Amino acid sequence: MKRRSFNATLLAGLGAPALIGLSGQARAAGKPTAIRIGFPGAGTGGRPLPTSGYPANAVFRSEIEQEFASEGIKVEWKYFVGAGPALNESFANGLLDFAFGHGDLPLLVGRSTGLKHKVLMSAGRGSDVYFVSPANSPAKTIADLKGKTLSVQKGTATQLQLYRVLAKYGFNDPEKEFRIISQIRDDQVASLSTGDIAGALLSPFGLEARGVAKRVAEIFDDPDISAPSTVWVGEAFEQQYPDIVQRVVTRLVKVAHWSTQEANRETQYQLWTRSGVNTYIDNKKSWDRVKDLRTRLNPLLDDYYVAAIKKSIDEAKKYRLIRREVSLDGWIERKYLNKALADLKLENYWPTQDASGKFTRT
Amino acid sequence: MHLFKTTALATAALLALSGGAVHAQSTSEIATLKNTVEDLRKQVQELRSLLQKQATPAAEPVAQEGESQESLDARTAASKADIQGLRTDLENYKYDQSRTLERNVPSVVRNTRIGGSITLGYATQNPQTQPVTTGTTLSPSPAPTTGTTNSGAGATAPRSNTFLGPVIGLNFAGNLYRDYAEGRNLTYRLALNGTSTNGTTTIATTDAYIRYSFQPASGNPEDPLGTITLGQQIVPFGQDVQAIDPEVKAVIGNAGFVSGLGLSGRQTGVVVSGDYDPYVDFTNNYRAPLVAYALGLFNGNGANRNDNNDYRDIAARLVYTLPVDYASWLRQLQIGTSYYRGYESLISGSASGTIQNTEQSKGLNTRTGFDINWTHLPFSVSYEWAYGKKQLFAGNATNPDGYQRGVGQYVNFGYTWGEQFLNSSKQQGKFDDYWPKSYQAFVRFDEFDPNRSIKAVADKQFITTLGLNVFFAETTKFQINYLHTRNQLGGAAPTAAKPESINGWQAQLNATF
Repeated sequence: MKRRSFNATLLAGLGAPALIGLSGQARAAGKPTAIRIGFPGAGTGGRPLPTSGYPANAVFRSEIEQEFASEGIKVEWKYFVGAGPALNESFANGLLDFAFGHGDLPLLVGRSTGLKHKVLMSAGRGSDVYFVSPANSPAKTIADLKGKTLSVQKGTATQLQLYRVLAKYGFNDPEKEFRIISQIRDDQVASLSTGDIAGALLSPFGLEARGVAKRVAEIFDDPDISAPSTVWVGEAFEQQYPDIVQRVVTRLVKVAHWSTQEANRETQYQLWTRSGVNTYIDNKKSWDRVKDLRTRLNPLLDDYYVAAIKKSIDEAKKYRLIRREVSLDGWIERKYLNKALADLKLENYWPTQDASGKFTRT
Repeated sequence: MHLFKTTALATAALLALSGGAVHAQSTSEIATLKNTVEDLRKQVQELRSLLQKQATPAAEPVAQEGESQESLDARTAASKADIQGLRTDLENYKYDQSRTLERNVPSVVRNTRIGGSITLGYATQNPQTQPVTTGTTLSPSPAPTTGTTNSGAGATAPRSNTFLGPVIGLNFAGNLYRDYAEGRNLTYRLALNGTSTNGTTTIATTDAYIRYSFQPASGNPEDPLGTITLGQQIVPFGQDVQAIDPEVKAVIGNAGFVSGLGLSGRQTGVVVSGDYDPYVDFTNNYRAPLVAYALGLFNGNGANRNDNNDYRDIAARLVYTLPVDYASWLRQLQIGTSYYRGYESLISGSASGTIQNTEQSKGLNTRTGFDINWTHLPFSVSYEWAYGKKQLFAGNATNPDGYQRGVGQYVNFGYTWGEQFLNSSKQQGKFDDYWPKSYQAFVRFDEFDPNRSIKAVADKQFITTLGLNVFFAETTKFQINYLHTRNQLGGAAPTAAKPESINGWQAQLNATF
């Protein structure tokens, strides 16, 4: 990303972001008429459904609707095919109140350009990461792909994740050591079929079954590779309706607790197939390995969460994806989560991790 | 079975041996033998029950207390009949798909996207539109019999309102070669336009071009874009000139200078266009190229024609976009400049005996434009100025130096309610036919002076337009404009053909598919 002195001079005098509400959200004195919640993604074919995780379970089980049904507060769900960047655009134009599961890169890029929100909880952490190549590729490791074309949807959390995977294999300047192009998932799959890209981070199971791709690397629950995603609320909404925010957080903690029960594992596998993004078998393969669901379905804002966000900020600056400093001051708001955990007597339920990702409490 | 037989044989052998030797054995040895027999009996029992289990189908697992249906299903094995049933369903689906593709889905040789549009309108005018009584003789079709009036396109009696004849469009676009690796794609566009004139629909080709991306269009917002477009296309001049199709026009009518300076049609030629040094804000992948450019070489003789001379026209355009973040108030502030230069074949209209299609002299025709546009939802402001200098066949009383100079400008102020112009809103996941409804109100002040000569005092026109655009479906918009037109009379008295002012309404429904 190039810096320009002209740009810097301009920006110095521009001030606050333009958060002009395009659709007037009616605000009553004590409560809103609607709560607008966004997911950075949608199901296949633009299906208005989330994919997985405990915030997704809140949708499938209509938890938020039940919370506010008696007061007639409508819950509007928005699913952004354009992922995190599209969710940012919507919030920048005053069209969102909450985000469930925002990835680290679009989240902190948005904050760096002046989007004002408060981090409430971690939406989940850990994941299976697969690097796939065309099925007939001679590559055995990522090192064999140096100089080749890789694909990622730029601006999304996967972009930083790809850079971390490449760094793990010794490539610290990925834009120079590879040719990285931006494609959405469907185009990535097409390009793998034709052999026009050498690799991408994709779920491999369906691709392998069709003979399109093969796994070159797989990394499971590496705290240095997968950063936590986030649940946040817009500052304006939080200041106006703190009680609503508390109720949303408390409800989400309840859902998170339900999600970590072993008896509900199979139910979740089935719920997570509804978006069409992952099949039941994919969910089993990805999640059966996770013996303790609390390690992934974890809402805590512990040392690991904070350290992961800081690391993401440093990486985004290193790769010139942001132009300004991102301060954590006043951004992470723990009071709602702490109260929810206390009210539900779950203060010590979830395992915590230190800054390096090592579990300090299980 | 083998184990069973072996055990039975061993048992029999033991019994046979023990029969003859029992009298010679001690009590302890008898007890040992009895224990062995007992063990063998148990083994036989176990083997029997094992065989029985294999012959009997496994019972359905029973739900444990508190167990969810999904957990129970996970422990329940699928039978061969279940799998066969699923396979049958899948084969039926494959067959249905194959038949549908064969019978009901049109096929194409290459990737093709078909589109089109229907534009319907209604217009009112006060004072009324007057019938044309001088100039070109109308050719009525069919020929009028005695007592009937001309059924041509123009008014034959003073007319205050009319439904406008439909305008239709049909277009095909797609890629001729898709470069998955680099994005240097070869694409095409073919568009036809049909306008209602004189009882028929005149079909004309509008766009007909092939476009090659010489810069990789690999989806990286940080990379510059660049294309070469060969064929019939819109001239890259200003803003309003490039919005001549009803699908993209925010105001029903173009600014006065567009047709007044001869910029309203397409031209055939080649255009190199692209941008340089894009500023990217990854907040929402907002992209603002520092400079966008276009350089074109055209016949200059208009659409659907060969050139009529050896002179090629040149068009050039540069646009500077302020490199600021998406959240900045100055987002999408653009400053552009345009230039068009060409030569026309000039013919004297008064020389007797002159063959009309032979050039008698060459006339230089230049147009220069400047535009500013700022679109920061919900506000939008645009200003454009254009100046044309056209060489005449010879000087005349109004233009003694042999050049006609025309100038026009407009300013447009707009305000939008709704999410029509946000990609994040348009691309949301939805089950139903969702489209964010939006309303766009605007006012435009437009003036055009076709001849700035001080001797041309009655040709300037000022048009104020108040309008509302309603975007109520994905590809459909309704527009309503109120126009107040003021004619410069230069001291002359207003006439029915040229009143001092005209007020009128225009309503237009544009549906694109």
